[in-house]
Amino acid sequence: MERQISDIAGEDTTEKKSMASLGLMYEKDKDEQSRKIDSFIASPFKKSMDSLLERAQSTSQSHVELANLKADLREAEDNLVKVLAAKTRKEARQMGIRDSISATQSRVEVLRRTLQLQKSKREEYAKIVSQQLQALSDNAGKVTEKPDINEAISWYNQALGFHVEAGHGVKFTFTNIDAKRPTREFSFTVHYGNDTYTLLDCNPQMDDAEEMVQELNKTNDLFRFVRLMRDKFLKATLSELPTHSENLQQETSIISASAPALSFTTDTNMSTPENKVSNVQVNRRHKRSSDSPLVSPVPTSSVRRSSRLKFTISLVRVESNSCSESDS
Amino acid sequence: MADELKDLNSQVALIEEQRLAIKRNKRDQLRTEKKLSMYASVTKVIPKIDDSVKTSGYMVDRDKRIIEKFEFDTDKRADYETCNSIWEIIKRK
Repeated sequence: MERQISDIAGEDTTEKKSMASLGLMYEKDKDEQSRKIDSFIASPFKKSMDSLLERAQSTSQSHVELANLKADLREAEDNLVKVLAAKTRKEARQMGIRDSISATQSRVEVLRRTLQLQKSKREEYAKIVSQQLQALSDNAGKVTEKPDINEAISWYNQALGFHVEAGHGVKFTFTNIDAKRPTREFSFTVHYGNDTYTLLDCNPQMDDAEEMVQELNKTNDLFRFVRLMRDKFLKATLSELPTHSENLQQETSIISASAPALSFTTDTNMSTPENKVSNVQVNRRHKRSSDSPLVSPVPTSSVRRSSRLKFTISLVRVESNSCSESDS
Repeated sequence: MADELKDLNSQVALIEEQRLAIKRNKRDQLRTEKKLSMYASVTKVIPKIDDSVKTSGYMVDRDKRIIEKFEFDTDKRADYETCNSIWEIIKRK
């Protein structure tokens, strides 16, 4: 064993030597390799590596910058959107303002025209008003005949006891018919329509009133009819009075002897059962007479021009077939 | 301007009122005249109204020519008689 071991140790020594030389060789190689490696490293590879490193670093920096830029871009885009929205709003507002300006301008134009119109209307109105005022003052200056007409109508009412009222028909009322009650009213109402007269009312009722109306429709003489009706009323009243003897005549009228100046003329014997009267005989007068100092037939022309007559009356001409002067 | 127009409008309204009143008056006057014509036509008498002492008037014919004049002293007691006397004259003409 020890031999072996010494053989082995011998062998080992050579091997050790070879090993040592190998080792040295290896060492050399290694050094050389290392040198190669170092030189390799020191070569452009290193440079490129460095540059790669640099580039990697710059790339990563760029990444960061890119990220920042992207963030900035997004922010800018957001701002752009906001600004665009604001711009759109402002544009819309501007259009609205433009529209309202043009509307206001056209309204101003309309108002201007209206004002012009109103001015011309005012001028026109002022003219019309002054014309009307002038016309009114002219009218006010005219003398109205109304008071005189009413005075005349009153005369008929009081002196003749005769009233006329217009309504649905024409109502004729008489007083001073009934001697016992002079204020008692006798009336009738006549209506004219379809060319026919009709008696609407008669107070008091008269038996022959209808006959008289028929006569009226034949003659068309309303005025005579009215006079006849008064006469009928009077006769009806007289027939109510207690009858006296021969002095009561059919046609009577009453004269007071106390009247000192009787200046009318008739040729009738007049008497009344009521008053103390002596028969008065007078002469009938015709159109012109100069006998009696009491009667003064005034010439027509002077009467027409008389200043005492303050109104004119136009007698209605009635077309009558037989309009006679006499009422009896 | 508006006040002026308002004022003018009220003036126009006033004028219109007055115009209508005048129209009414004229219409009434016409009616009264026709009434008077009826009185005169029925009675054929034109009164003499400026004499308060006497009741007097004129009988006229259809051509308004005076036929006769009459005159009565105004006396309350004689009203009835005067009235019927005149109607008697009217009846006879």
